[in-house]
Amino acid sequence: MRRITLLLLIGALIATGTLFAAGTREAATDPSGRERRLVIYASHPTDMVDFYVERFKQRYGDIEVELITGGTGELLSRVQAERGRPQGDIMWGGGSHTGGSAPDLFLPYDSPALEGISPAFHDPKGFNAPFDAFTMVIVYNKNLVPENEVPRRWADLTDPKWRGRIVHANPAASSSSYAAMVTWLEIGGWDLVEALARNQIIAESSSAPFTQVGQGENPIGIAYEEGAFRWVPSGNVGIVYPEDGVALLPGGLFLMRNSPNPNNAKLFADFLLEQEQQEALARNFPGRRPTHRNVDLDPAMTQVDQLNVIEYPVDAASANRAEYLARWREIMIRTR
Amino acid sequence: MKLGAFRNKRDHYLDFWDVVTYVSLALFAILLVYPVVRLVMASFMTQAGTFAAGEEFSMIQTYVEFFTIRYYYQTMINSFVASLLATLFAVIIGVPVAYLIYRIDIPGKLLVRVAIVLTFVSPPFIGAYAWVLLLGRAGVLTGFFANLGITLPSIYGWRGIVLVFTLQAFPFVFLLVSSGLRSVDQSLEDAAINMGRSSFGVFRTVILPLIVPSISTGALLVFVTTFSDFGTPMIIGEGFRVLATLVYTEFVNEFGGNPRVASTLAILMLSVTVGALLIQRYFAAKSSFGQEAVTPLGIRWVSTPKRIISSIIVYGIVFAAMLPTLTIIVSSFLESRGPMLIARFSLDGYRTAARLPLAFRNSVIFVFVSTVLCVVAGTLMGYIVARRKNRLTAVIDTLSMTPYAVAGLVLGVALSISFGGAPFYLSGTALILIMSFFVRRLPYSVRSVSGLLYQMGPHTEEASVNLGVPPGRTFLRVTLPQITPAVLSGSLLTMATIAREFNSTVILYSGRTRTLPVEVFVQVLQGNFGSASVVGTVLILLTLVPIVVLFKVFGKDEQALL
Repeated sequence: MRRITLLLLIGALIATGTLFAAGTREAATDPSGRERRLVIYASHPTDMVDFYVERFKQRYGDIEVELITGGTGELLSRVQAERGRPQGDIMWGGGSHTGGSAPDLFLPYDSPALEGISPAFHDPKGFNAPFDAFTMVIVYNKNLVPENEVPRRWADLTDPKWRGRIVHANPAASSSSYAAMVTWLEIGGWDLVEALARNQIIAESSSAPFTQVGQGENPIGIAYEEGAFRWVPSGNVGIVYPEDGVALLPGGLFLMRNSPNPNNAKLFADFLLEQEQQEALARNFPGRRPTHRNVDLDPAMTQVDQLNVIEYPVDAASANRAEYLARWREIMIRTR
Repeated sequence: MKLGAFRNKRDHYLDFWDVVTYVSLALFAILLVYPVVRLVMASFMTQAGTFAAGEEFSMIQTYVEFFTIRYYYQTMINSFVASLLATLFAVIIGVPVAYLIYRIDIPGKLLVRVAIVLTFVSPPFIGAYAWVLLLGRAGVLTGFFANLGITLPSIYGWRGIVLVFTLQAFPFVFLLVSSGLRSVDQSLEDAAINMGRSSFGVFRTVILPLIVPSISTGALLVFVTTFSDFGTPMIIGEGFRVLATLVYTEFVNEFGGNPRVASTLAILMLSVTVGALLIQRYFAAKSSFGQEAVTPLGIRWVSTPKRIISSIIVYGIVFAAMLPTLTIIVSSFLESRGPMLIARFSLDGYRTAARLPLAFRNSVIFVFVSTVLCVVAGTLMGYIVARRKNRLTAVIDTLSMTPYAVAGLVLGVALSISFGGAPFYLSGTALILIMSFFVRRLPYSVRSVSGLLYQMGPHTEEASVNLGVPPGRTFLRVTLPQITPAVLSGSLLTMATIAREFNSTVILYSGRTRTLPVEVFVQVLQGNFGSASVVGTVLILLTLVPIVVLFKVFGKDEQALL
């Protein structure tokens, strides 16, 4: 009888022990300073992330790459929750200000590869490795929006005829949609933000606007450039760079503070800023803007000099994030 | 000699079953009581993580806000409207379909069974998206009917949510009513007919009252599942916001905030589901007759037109419920380019699914480990609940009921708050996922074993003990062999349900530990319906394997799914 009890207890101990052991990680380094592993938190669409992870593995076959994907907000919450014992090495996604606004979570990194990157995209605080840049655009379905009604400016989207027909992601959940909100704030203050919000359907994912417009479920969406371009081959969607102003936003790539594999994290950041990878970006991912000074833009995209680029208030946007989102929530409460 | 008497001789030893009792209590304390307590605490805490009430802060602030600001309390009203309507319609559909299939000779009943099983195994979340492809503004069916000059109502908003909820959940009512009908005796109907009742009158005045407890249990399951489903409203809500979606978005999106709002909302959700459970139990206890059928109700002869009409009703409803699952399977074999599906057959989706193997491997491992844990713990706990009656095991009996009322979403938030951060740092680990699967599914294992033991009676075990075999060995040599077939068939069902568990996983997973349902979710959110349907189809197959074994090897039918 007691033997059975003992056996069961031992069994239970072994089982829990194994489970815990599976959860711990080793951080062995080889002589070249490289660790064995690299843990990437990425909020970009999986096809692009997988593409670059694959290329990275081809070059550094000995590094075991682990990918953790999710929404930007979700991943940042996770980084925040894990700050006592960071699990990841690099955060790939979110706005360029993310690192500078959370210096307790991320490390500044002066990559040697920044040499090749246009100065316009450099992070003044030195945290970001600006791998790409994007603008927020209006995407519309050509079958649902007649040519003469196509909105040209953000302000056109306040017209009551679009009530409940414009898809926009929740700024609290999506960093790109937050950037769009700050852009409107710069152009027309909270009045414009509220007038726009009144007409919007709020989705919980930044892919929803271009997906729904592409499918023809809704006529108009507010989307990041690359997402909108995904539907161009269907022939159904049109893309508008609003004339009242667009912000040019570098994408975020940050090294996590106290991460288990810091050297590999640097390696990955350097890798993505290389001219070769930047060219691959322009070639394989229409709608993405490379940041390297020697790499040309996809010809289908509008060149920067033809856009009405406004100065994006990077510092204010990150410093006032909580306050702005609270304002947004108040607007939601008022308009819903 | 009674089983309990044996231990009196050696009171000073810690008997094996005492250890089981204490370990069980500890497990419930750690995995259920502690997380719920932490959840309640989190809903009262300030940003800084203290309870200190000041001028600007009162402990119940979030609760007050919830009930005074329409933006918030409207979600509660909306949730009630959607779930109650879905429950009503699920009963309106489920009862007749169950009755017609049970009583009338409808051709091809096997097909109906297959369809019910398919609805059961269909991955959550993706169903609503499939409906968008079918009935959205640019949907396949919408276009088809538009060509015929018929404008279908929109799938978006509350009507669509109620439709999707109803079709997803009516199998609960169907299964429970079918099993309820089995215990109605033919003689009751015969007597009523002999006394001059019409066939509908018999149904209304004799049969219906007898199956009320089954209907109410089915209705409860529909209500609780739909009330805590956040995926469907998230996809087709468009401004119709419900409580469950709000819990999810408040919890996963607050960067740098505290999970206070999410906890408050989760507590409110918990109160509603627990309330529903209590009301249903009271109601079912009042209307229960404790009947047993000697001659179960037989097939009734009806005229051919009536048979045809019945068949059309049954097949129409079942086909509608199956549509999203079929859409998913068909879409997985279509070519896709980024977010676009192209109407051309292709296996590329399966060939190039780079993210599938990890999710598949995780799902298989987690399902296996959690099922083994559930079966072992469930069997031991079921045994002490049924055979070792004392105050502690009565507590275990009650505790083993509670996870029924704790929605996956609520459990996920509670476990994440309790174990995600310092000092455990289990966020995103396999361990926390297995913990959630274990506690979610344990009640079913405990119930099935204790129910079986009550039915069997303790006589053989008592005989064994009286002949001098100690209780531990008696359990292994006498009890276990008797209950093994039922435990095994129960474990297959456990496998199937854990494989498709989504609501708690989505709160707790990380990229490394993502499972098939989570992968479906990620792909749908990114707008890649092609990839989502590939993963979804694999998930359907994985869920079907244990169910097919259950049916073929153990000779069970769809009743076993309850």
